[in-house]
Amino acid sequence: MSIDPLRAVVLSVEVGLAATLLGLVPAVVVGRWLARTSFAGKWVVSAVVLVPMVLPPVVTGLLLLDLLGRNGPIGKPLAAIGLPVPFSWFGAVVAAVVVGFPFYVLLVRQAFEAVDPRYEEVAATLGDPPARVFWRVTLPLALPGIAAGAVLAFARALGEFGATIVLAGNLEGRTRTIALALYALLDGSGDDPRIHQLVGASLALAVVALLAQELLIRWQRRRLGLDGG
Amino acid sequence: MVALAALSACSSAPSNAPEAVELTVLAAASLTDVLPGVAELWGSNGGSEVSFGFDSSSRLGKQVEAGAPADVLFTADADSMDRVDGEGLLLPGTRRDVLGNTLVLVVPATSTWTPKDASELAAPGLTHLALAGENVPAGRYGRASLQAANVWEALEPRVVTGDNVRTTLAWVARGEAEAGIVYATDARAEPGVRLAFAFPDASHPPIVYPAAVVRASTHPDEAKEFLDFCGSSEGRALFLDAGFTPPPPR
Repeated sequence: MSIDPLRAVVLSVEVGLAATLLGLVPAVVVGRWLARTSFAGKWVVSAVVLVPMVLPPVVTGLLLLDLLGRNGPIGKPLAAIGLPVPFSWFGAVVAAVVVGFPFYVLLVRQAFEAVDPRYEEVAATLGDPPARVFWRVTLPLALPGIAAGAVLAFARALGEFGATIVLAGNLEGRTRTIALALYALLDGSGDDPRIHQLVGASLALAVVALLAQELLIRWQRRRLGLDGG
Repeated sequence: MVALAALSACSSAPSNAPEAVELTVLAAASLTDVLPGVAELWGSNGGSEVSFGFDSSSRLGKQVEAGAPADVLFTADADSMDRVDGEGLLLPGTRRDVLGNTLVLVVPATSTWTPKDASELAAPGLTHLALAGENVPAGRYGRASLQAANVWEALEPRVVTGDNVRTTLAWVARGEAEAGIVYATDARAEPGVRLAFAFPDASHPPIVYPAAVVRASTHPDEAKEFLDFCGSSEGRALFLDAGFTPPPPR
């Protein structure tokens, strides 16, 4: 059986990082918007963003297939410009972004909500234009929370299975991440050493991700302590 | 019947009412649509209550090996059953081949293309051929049939695999794959696909559904009765209705 554990690990990291980067700007925009604006029907927007968190991932995968498939309303134009979603590396990234997005937004939103508006007000009274207030005050204060959201999105991407297998398939070298490789191996006969290798790699990645988050938060606290005085 | 009731009263401590017996049947996912109906018919003929666990055959085998509380194991391939049998986890003398199935090629219901046999699949219009995973019986059979027709080399780069025949069907029904290989019974269950042709039985290993009573069963007599009913003319009629075939000759 053509299942290369190393390739699966590399692919998992690739897909996880790509999904985390691709989701960053949307998560910050949506998270800040939800944190700092109030309007009638805000809960509807919030619910739509959170839907992939409560749907079974396989259902999310089927909905994505309907939207992004080669015959779907979004998938058709994408395929026309040479970016077909189903059965592709890109499809695996898209599945990971969508399924991880609620976690991303949730933490980013909390991070912005936790920023004391008085800091922004002070900066504004000192003559800073809003954009500068955002970049120099709000964003640095929210950064640890954003980083936490990024790590959670990355972790969710690593564990993603259901939406990926439906939208992108279980294709060696293209979409067969650790979770999908393990699934295929568990279908096989008996005890395959690759199962243990992949489980070990998963645990190692989880530890690295959590350590990275811890370091990010510490670094940020230190920096804020020095900057803020 | 009295003797049976007395027997089950002895083996099940909490209740001595015979109707309290509930069998647990672990069965292959491709039996999901048909087996509950068979159990229902058995129940109306005096059989016990039956609850089901459906999964891929290999995973079911692993569940039994791990000591899952089951009375009957019903798989979609001989390999999975052989493995459990080899571990001595089946009740001797209860294993039998219950059903067979047919491997078919399906195309989207809206497709205008209807290939007549495997040799036509190498046509350039086919960019995605959906197949079950290489470790799932349907996936192994599909590969074997394409190899037998000498088109595997040409098709391999165009093959897309998911997990089981259900993802295969979802892709073909949506036109994401121009064709897919599934069981005849699955092809019937999905209105979005159309049957193009059946692969010759000789082109792949025999498709057989063996069943047996699990050695650890707490209701072995009822379990055996249930299997006998599955093989009876009444039970078999329901299976044949769903598109299954009699088991292939050994």
